[in-house]
Amino acid sequence: MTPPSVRGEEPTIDRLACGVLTVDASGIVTYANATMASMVGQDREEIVGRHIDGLLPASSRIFFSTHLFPLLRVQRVAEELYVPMRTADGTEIPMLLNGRARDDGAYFTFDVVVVPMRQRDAMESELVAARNAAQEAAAAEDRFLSIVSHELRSPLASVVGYAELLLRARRGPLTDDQRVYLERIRDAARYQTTLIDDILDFAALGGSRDVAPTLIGLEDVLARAEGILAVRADAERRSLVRRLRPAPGVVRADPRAVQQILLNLGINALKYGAEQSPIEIGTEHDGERVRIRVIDAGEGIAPDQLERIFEPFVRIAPSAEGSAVKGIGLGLAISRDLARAMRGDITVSSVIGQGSTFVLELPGR
Amino acid sequence: MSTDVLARNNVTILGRGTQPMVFVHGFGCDQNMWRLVTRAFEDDYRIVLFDYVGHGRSDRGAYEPERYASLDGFAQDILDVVDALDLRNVILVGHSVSSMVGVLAINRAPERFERLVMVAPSPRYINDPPDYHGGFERSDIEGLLEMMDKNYIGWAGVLAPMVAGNPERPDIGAEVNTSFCSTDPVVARQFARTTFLGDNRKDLVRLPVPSLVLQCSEDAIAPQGVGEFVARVTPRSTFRQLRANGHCPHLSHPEETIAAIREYVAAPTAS
Repeated sequence: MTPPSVRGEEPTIDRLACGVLTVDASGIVTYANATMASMVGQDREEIVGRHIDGLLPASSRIFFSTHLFPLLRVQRVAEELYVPMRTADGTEIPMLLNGRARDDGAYFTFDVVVVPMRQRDAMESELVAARNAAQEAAAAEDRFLSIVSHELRSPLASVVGYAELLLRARRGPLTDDQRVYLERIRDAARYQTTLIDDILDFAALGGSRDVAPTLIGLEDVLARAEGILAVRADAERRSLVRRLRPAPGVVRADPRAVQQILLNLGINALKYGAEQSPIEIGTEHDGERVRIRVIDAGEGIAPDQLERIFEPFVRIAPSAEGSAVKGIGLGLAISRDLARAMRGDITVSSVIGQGSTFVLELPGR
Repeated sequence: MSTDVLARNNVTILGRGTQPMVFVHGFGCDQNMWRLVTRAFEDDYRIVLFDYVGHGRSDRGAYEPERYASLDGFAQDILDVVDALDLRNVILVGHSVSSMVGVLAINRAPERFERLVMVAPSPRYINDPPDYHGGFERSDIEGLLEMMDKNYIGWAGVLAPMVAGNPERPDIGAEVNTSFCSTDPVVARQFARTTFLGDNRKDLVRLPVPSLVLQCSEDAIAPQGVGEFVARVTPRSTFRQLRANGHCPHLSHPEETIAAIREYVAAPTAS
């Protein structure tokens, strides 16, 4: 089996920096070069004539039988396969294997070369471990989100449904006040449903979401958001102040998205503004761009925090009084993504001790 | 429904006979595993081949992790194909883990099947001392999963193109479809777990049809004692020792495998 050699000199095949094996259709090793023998710490005579299983740890034996052998037999080529081999003392050597099938009529053999890949193996192990961990984390997150979304959305469906049932006035006439209140209940519940969907979207899509901008009246957008915010403002004995009513002009935006942004900015202003201080909403329109300002008289935001608050899951620390900050810190991140998706933006300026101004800028035509 | 299943499982029908022989591939590959064996039966039988969902050229979109989390999901694939073609008196031939999948399928719908041929079967791969030697420890299976992870990293890129053609033997490239062994990595991983960590010993004892156990010599996956165990605990089971060694006699020693199957299916069933 061994190729002829010049006296005193090893044949080339035995000096190669890779193991060479020939294996017959039964898996019996019919040839091994000297490099192969020394890599596994055995004499050539111990390898040749025996089954290749003797050179493989258990996991590789399964892989050989279920993948490598069928691959070589049917496909006749196998390349870049990771197949650990085993030395005489049981130590595993990670190997990279290439193989080809040779078919001389009835006689069928595989020619195989193997190269140890210890360092690459360590690196690939890390890669695989990192990838598996990431996949498991993503799966866990998906499960969590689907449970959360179900638990949060189901009660809201009841709220919206029953509010609409009452609004149909089949159970008796409604006063104007009752109608307005029911509409606000319904709108608030719908808004919250949207918000939950968006949190899920944000998580699923890494923050981006499809928007469908269209031309809408600026006053329509503001009035609708204010209607919902007013309920909360009233409850906290705060007031919403608007300088210019009705606000003139149109804005090119996705109505659902712009409402969501305004509600988010408004709720933040209520959350972080000083007790009983008003929330001011202003607008500017120069034809090209529309700016909607939401101004609170709160503690303000430190300069080094101004950009951080737009990052997902970041919230400003609770104030000294220990008032718990509600929410999960996605609102501004989602809002800015939405604004940018509509070719707009959200910016903030703040003076410590006086308050903050958030500006939603959108295309005006 | 029936055409859906035929497309979903990439069903191939060959042969000029009437009695159906359904060949089922094991873990690692697809229906091409049987290509050296099926020709011998084409004159006398109706040959049905298919790929499990997630394997070969099946519809990968139909893969549901919950369904295939146990061998029952794979057994359902067999039953779906048998139903779709309305097959009766089926001779089922399963390789490796698909011997057990076949047992599960027949246990659920015995009226469809005449007999089962188990090629290199094992009802449990993990040792269960002191009386049962499956050949492996749990850590070996973890090692296999790690190996698969590393080899499947570039599975699509590394393995798929090679099947497209063989420069020296273009006929073979054409014959072997372009998806040989290109199992989806996620599918392969789950199938490996389901296969090698499972235990189907108790399912053997109620197999309602006669069966043949083909035991290879020096089989690293299904050791000698395992085939003997299967034939011993399964009612009306015939044990046959092959000279063929390894785990894939239908690939390594097709002639001997054909002869063994032919001899068994030609004999009348004693039912």
